[in-house]
This record gives sequence, structure tokens and C-alpha cells, in this order.
Amino acid sequence: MFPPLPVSGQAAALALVAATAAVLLVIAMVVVRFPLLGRMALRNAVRRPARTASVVAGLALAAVFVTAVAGLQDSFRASAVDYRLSQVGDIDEAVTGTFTAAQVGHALGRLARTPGVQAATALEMLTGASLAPATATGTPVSGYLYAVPPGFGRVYGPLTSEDGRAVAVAALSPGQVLLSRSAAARLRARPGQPVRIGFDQITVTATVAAVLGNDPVFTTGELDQDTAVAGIFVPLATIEQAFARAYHHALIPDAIVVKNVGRGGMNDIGPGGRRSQAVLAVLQSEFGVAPVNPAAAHGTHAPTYFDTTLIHPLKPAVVSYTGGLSLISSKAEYVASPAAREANWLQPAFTALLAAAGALLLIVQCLLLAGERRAEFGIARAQGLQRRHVIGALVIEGCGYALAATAIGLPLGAAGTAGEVAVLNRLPVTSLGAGAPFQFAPVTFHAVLSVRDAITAACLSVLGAVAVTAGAAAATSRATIVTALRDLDDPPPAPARLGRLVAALRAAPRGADGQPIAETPARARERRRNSAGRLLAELASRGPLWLTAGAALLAVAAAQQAPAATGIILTDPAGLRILGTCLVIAGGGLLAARAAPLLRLPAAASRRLAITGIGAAWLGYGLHAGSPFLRAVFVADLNAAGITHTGPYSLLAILLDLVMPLAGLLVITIRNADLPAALISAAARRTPGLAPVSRASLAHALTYRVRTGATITLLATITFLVMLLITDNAATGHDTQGAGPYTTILTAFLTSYLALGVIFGILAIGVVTSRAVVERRHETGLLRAMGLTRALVRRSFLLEASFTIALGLVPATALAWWLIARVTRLAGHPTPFPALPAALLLAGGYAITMAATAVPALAASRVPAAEALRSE
Amino acid sequence: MKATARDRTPVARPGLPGDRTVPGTAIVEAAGVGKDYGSGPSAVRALEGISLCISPGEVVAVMGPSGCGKTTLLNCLAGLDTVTAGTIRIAGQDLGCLSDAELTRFRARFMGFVFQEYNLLPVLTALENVELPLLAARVRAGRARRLALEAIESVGMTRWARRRPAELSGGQRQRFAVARALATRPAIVWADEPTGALDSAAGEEVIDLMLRLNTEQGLTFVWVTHAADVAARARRLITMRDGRIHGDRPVPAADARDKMVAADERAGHAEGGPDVPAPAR
Repeated sequence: MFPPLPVSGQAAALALVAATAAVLLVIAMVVVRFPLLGRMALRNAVRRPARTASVVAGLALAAVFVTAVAGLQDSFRASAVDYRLSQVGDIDEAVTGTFTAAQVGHALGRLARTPGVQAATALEMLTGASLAPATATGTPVSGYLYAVPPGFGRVYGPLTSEDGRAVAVAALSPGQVLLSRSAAARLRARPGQPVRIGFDQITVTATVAAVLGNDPVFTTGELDQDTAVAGIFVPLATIEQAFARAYHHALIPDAIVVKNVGRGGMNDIGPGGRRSQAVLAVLQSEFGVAPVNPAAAHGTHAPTYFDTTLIHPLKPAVVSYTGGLSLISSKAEYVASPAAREANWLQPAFTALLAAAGALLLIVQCLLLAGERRAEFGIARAQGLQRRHVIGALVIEGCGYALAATAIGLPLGAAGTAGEVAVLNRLPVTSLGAGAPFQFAPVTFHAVLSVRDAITAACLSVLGAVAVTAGAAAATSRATIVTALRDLDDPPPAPARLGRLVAALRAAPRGADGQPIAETPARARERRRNSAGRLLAELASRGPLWLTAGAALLAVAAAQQAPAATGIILTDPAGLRILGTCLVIAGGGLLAARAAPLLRLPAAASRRLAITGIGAAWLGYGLHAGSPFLRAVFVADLNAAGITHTGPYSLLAILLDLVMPLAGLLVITIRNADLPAALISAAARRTPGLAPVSRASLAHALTYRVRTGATITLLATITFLVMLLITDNAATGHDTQGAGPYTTILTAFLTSYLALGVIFGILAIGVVTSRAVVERRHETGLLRAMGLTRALVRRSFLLEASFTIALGLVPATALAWWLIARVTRLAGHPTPFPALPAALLLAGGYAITMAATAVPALAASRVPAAEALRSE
Repeated sequence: MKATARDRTPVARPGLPGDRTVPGTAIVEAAGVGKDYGSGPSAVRALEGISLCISPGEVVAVMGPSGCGKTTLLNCLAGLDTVTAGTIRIAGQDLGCLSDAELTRFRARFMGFVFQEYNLLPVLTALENVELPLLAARVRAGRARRLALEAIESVGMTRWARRRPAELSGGQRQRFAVARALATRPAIVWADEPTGALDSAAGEEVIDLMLRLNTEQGLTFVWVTHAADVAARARRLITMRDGRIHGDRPVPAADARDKMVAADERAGHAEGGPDVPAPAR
């Protein structure tokens, strides 16, 4: 049974389901009310199957990532919960502390009268026991000694041996003990062997009656931290006698364990956890302390201390608590291995970046889709359809694609989760040494995708696609009917004075006679709405909007550093500070561009300088701000490099540390793409086989900057992440070899994770470039009509694709290499250059992307010129 | 079933400022209309100081050389494009007063369009294309189907109603485009180069069809054309040059018309090419 979720998680999931249901209902109502829109959407979908397949494939890839991210977290959570349930047995609550006999007796009596309690018993728990083979010398194993009464099984449930046989504590003779799985493994003890147990300066020799199949624990700290406790189960009478002999007074139990009414496991908590709550209330009134809260700072601790009374709400609070659950906390030598650090810190960041890449692909796909429907929008609008109708038609179509993609992406994402979990299960468990009181738990991960998260992933995929489609459709529908019908670009809006826009918010414009122009109330509302939008856009393009937002974020970050003064509590001031600084840089750069005419610079040059300056500032600041994090992650030997601060870092801070330098470099690259394009054009003009297409081939990429920029960003992000990892592994190869299979598997895990990203990226770029070829049939016809051969047309497309790919691959590779080179220089290692892996990656990515372009380019070049010209 | 005169009468929309619909008065009134493309030094003036009136039941041809602003004028008069200066009233309604949604509703209620390239949605059948403006005008589905079939019948295309545009010839497509323009029983039908993509026989048929509808149903037609023979079939001819109205005269009866066509063709007015300077892509 899956554990109950926190209320906030449930509420968020329910809200998402409700939002998706509402959106689907609205779309269904539109279809019912306007069946023609539904038919248009359906027929557009089946009209060009190849195009539809590429859109669905792109959306499905995004759905795969969303599902895999959710599935991995579900798997960790469910695996941890299952492991804890196997440890805690049927015990639902426990109380520990230093008690008097009267307290124990009174509590047990009251619990026996409590309606929700099925059984309760008292036991002695000693956390500092040592265990050693009776016949050998050597370091004893540290463990927990549980002195349990004969009726312990009625509370814990049946204990089973490692071979599955039932083991009863009542059947143990005075000289026999039971060992937990970890205790037996660490001691290499087998049933029948004598062992020596030491506690409180008392030593007892006993024989191992059986080895249990698990590592039972009954307290919050040991359960929450997923430890494998070496437990020794001894009859309470045996310990009482030893105690009486050594200290001449009676042993008073220090722990009471309770089983609620129920079938065991999570069934005992009762509907909504009410039975557990009632029993905890009884314990609280009996002992006068509140139950332990695992979510509170230092809420749980291990080993358990007994100088104060602690009430342990084992189910559901602790068993289900996964707030501190780390991906591989039990499986990574966190400080010693950079691979472990990479896995621990970068895996969430990589997931976020790849999910962002998926979102970017979604946006590109929807923009292409909306662009394709532009003329159709114009026709429909001319016939009297409102904007909302044409937006609705595209949203219906996008929703259909999203539903199909989700149906494909969800099972593929679940399969991806299973693969990731299989890799993680191969990781050996780290040993903390024989002297440690407990070891990391050998949690076996199993792949789980909860119904809630499957539905959440599906809802996110559908809602994301619908929202982006609606946005793209809304933007496309703003084209005037005339330009849409003729497939012309809308002319850029004339620059507006801010004062005039503010005035337009208040009153209608005046005609030539000085009188206000008459307008309907709807027209007045539309004017105000448009003016507000223009005002916001102008403030954004001129810089003040970003300056204000950045300053606000910096102020909030500063306030977080002094919470006593402001009372504002935020979780991530570092991330907010970086984000705020980025926005201030952007706003400042744009404002500077406005001031450039004062220096008598041409407007275009000042704009170029300003944008390039923003990119350079982001790059510089990103390198400066992200440097400590990158060093902490990638330096092999932290002590040797003198690095003492190793986190923690928030996800936002990690993302910004990784993204900022890359974003800066991409801004510089995309804004100045015309410079390398001019060089390539000049070189192509001197090449006989390329001269006729030397200019035409690159003009498209430079004209449609948004699409080109999105493609370059997508490719560069994935290349950057992969190159970062490859280069770092080349730099710390000695460390990888030294760490053996452990580090190797971790590295393999991250690499395979990114390989998935590379495949995703290449497919995405392929989809985008092939769509760009397909939608330019008319242009192809034009080139052919002007006398260009088929080969030249193909070369034109390939030259354009090469240009775009190179702008994505080269800067990202160079930046990744340079970052790692900085880090390795700091650590005193030689600067690496993973020539072969890098060459393979770049050549492979280039070849596959070119193939994705070449196939449609070949088909496009074969279409007769007249037919292609008619296809407008 | 033919549309009655009552069905075709434009209905005033209460609550709209400037609404002064008076039956029998001008259906189109343009005063001082100007249109610029772009802004600043790169601005192109497409229309300047256009003033005209068109009465209900007229068949008006707007003619002129390429780039003179014919199509821009039609787009502005029909509310497909905005004007930079002046006012346009259709059936008494000032188009500049209306919001985008109101203007769309107004177009759907009062106007029909026929384009040179037909502009039928390729994914819909011919019948569904004709239904589209009716559904946009919130006509109930059953009635919309009936009116669409009537409009198709009036252009003699019932047999091909279930076909997609790709399965029809150019003449058939344009007939369906005319049927679509008529389906809402508009007060005025705007036709931009209605015969531009058709051979002469098909073009002749489409013009005959529109003239028949004008005679039988009293529909107002405004054609933009560069073909003198098409313009000669109208009742009134407006000629344009460099964004201004150059001439506005009634078209003579059939015997004199042939002479006019010959004279216009000698003048070399029949040229092809776009009318509107295309903004930079």
C-alpha cells in the first residue's frame, strides 16, 4: 500500500487535476458548441501525417522527461517507505526514556484500556552494545541490544529468519539470541555460533539461535535516517538476571511499543490516520511531551538518547516522511568522490535543465504549428470568426496532440524510470566502518510510478502543451487579417512615447478636429488593454521593468539575510540574489542602449553593443558567482585544493550557476550571429559549388531569430552539460580508477542520464530543422525557378543547418572545457581535453542532425518548381 | 428558397455610437481615408484623401494599375485593415468606433468576401466552408446548414457541395467562395480580383452569377479588378491612381461598353502584380 501523502501534495495534485479537467471540459464544450472547429482540428491533424507524427514525437519526449522525473522520486519514496515498514513491523507508536516501574506499569495499563490499541509491551533497549564472536579476537561490532519479553511478537508481528521461517522470542532459551541481518553480516555469524555481547560493563555469552531476515528498529531517528541497525534480540529475563547480578537492583524497561487495532502495516493507522492520532494523544497525556516531528529541524536523531522522554509517531508520520531523503545518501562517498557529488547535486539540476529543454522544444513546436496555421487564421477571421475561435481551433488540435503524446510518453517515462532504478540498484552500499553503531541501509530500489504522479505528469504535459499552444495561437492571431491572408510579416509597431501610452490608458485619442474619437465601451476597454500591454512591453524593451524586478529580488534576498528585522523567510536567498543581479544587468544594459544616441552611435550599433554587453556581463558574473559551486562539485580532492565550503546549495542556485555563463555566451552568440554568417557567406561565394546559395542559405536563419535562437539554445544546453561531464571525467580519471566500480557506476549513471538528453536533443533539433525545410516549399520552388539545381537547393538547407548546429555546439563545448580547465588548474591537475569523446559527441550530434535535415531537404528539392510555387 | 428583401436589409445594431442607419441611403461612406504602411522615413502612403459613397444595390468596380491601392482600399472599406486617417461608415456604422470583436461581428453580419485565391479552408468541405460565416454569426447549426445549401444552390453547385476544395476546379472554388459570401445574406459583397485566378470562361460565369444575384436579390457588389472587361460589366466604375481616386463614372450600356473596354485595354490598364507594397519579411 502506498503511504498517505502530505496534504499540500494532495492539494496540489488535486488542483492540477481540476485545472486539467476544467481545460478539457472547456475545450470539449467549444467542440460541442462549434463542431466545425473540432472538424478543422481533426482534419488538420490527419492531413499531413508526417508533420503530425513529428509534433507528437516532440511532445511525447517532453512527457517522457516529466514522467521520468516524477517516477524517480516516486521510486525513492516508495522504496524507502517499504524498507521502513519492513523494519518497524506492526509497531505503530513507541515511547522511550528513563522511566520508573510505576510509570511503565501505569502506561501499559492505560494503553490496555485504550480502544484503538491492540497490544503494547515494554522492553529494554541499549544503543551502545558491542557484539563479537566468542571464539575470536578483533574489533567488536557496535549494535543495539533489545531485551524483549516473550509477548513481543504480539506487538511487532511475526519475526522471520533469513530463510523465511517464523522465529518466536518466547521460544528462546536463556542462552540464546537472535541477530538482525546486518549484525550477522557484519559479524559473519551463523546460527549455532557463540557470540559475546557487551553492555553496561556486563558481558554475556550466548548462542545465535537464528538470523533475522531484516533489521528491526522501533524509534524515529533510526527509522527516518534509513540506517541498517545491527540488532541483538535477547530474552528480557536473561538481561534482567545479568543486570541483577551486576548491580543488585531490578532492570526497568526504557521503551514501550504499541500496536494499534488493525491488520498490520499501514492499515493500523486507521482511516485518515485517526487511530494513530488517538493513541498518540493518550501517550501525550500520559507522558506530558509532544510526539517527535520529523519535519522539524533536528526532529529526529540516531542513536536514540534516553535522558528525556520521546514519543515516536512511527506510522504514518515517520514511515512516510521523505523530506530528508537523498538520492544516494547511503551509496555515495559524498566528500571523497566528485562523481558522487556530481550525482548528488547535478542530477536534479540536469533534470531541471533537460525538462526546460523539453519545454523549449514544446514552445518551438507550437510556434511552428501556429505559424503554419496563420493563413488559415486570416481566412477564418475574414469570414467572421473571432480571435477566440481561431485560437480555440488550434488549441483543440494542440490538445489532441498533447493527449496522444501523453499516452505515448507516460509508459516510456515509466520504462525510463525502471532503467534508472536498475542502474541505481547496482551501486554497492558504502561501509561506515565496523565501529559505527549503524550502517547505511541496503535499500533495494524498485520502480514505482504512483497513480497520483502519473496523473500529475499527464496533467502537466497536457496543460503545458495547451498553454503553449494557446499562447502561440494568441500571438499568431494578432496578425492583421490582410497580412495573415497574404502570409506577410506584420510590420513592427511604430515606437511609442511612454507619455502617449499613459494618456491612452486614461482617455480616447482625439481626431483631427481635436475632439475625442467616439468609441464603444468594448473598444474603450480594448484600447486600455492594448495600451497597458504596449506600456509593459516598452518598459521591458527599454529596461526599467527588469531593473525594478531585479532590485525587488535583491531586496528580498537581503531581507532574508536579516529575518529578525523583516520577518521575511525565504528558502533561497543565494538563488534570488543571482537572479536579481541578472535582471539588474539586463535592465541596465537596455537602458544604456537608450542612452547610446547621446554618444552619436547609430541605433543598430548601440543595440548590438548593449545586448552583447548584457551577455558579457552575465557570462562574467555567472563565472564569478558560480565558481565556488563548480569547484566544490568538480575538484577531485577538496582538502588538497583547500576548499572547505561544500554547500549546501539550493536547486535554484545550482541551476543559475550552471545556466548564467551559458546564457551570457548564448546571448553574445545569437546577437552577433550575423558576423560569422557574413564570413561564411564570403567564403561560400568563393566556392563554386556554394556560390549561388551563399547568401540565401543563411538569410533565413538570421531573419527568424527567435526560432534560430531557440534551436541554438536547445542544442547548446545539452552539449554544455554533456561536455562538462565528459571533460570532468577526463580530468579526474585517476580518481575514477581509484574509486573502483562505485564511482564508475555513478559516472555511468549520470552519463546514461545525459545520453538520454543527447538523444532527446538530437531528435528535437531534427524535428525543428526538418520542419523548417518542409514549411519552405514555396521558397524551394522559387530557388528552383531561378535556375538553382536540386543539389544546390539541398546544399542551401544543409549549409543553414550546419551554421545553426555550429553556433550551438562550438560555444557550449568551449565554455564547458574552459570551466573545467579553471577548476583543474586550481586543483593542480593538468588541463584535460577529452579529444576523442568530444570529437565523437560533436561529430555524432552533427551527423545525426544533418541527416534529419538532409532527408526532407532531398524530398523538397525533388518537388517540381511549379508545384512548389503553388504550395503557398 | 430565395432570400426576401426583408432578410437582406441591414439591421441597425443598437448601442453603437455613430449608428445612423437609414434605409435607402448610402451603404458605404468613406471620408478623407488615408492609409500609410510603416512609420517614419520608411513609411509608404498607400491611400490618400479617399472619399466616396456607394448606394445599396450598386455594382461598383474599382480599377487601376498595379500598386495604385485598389486592394488596400477594399481592405480598409471592409474593415479588414485599419486606416491611418479619415472615417468609414458601413450601413451608417463608423468602423473606427468598434472593438476588434465588434468589428468581426459586424463584418459577419453585414459583409461577404470573395478573394482572388478563393481562400477556402482546405480541411473543410465546400459546404462546411459556406457554413463557416453563418456559424460565426451565431446562426443555429440546422438553420446554418439550410442557408448554406440555399446559397450553394443559388450558385448552382449543389452537386459538389460535399467535396473538399482540392477536389474542385478554380471556377468551382470561386463559385463556392461567392456562395460563402452570400450565405449570411450580407448587405454588401466585397470581391478582390474575383476572376484573377480563373480562365476567361470561368471568369465570365462568376461575373454573370454576381450580376444575377444583384438583379434578383438586390445585393451590393464592390469588385476590385485590373481587368477592363470585368470592370465594364459593373454599373459604376471607380478608377484609381497613386492611392487616389482618379475617376468615378457610371458604366454605359452594353453597346457603348464594348468601346470602353477596347479603349481601356489600349490604355494598358490590365497589368498583373501586387497592389500593396509588401512589408519587409
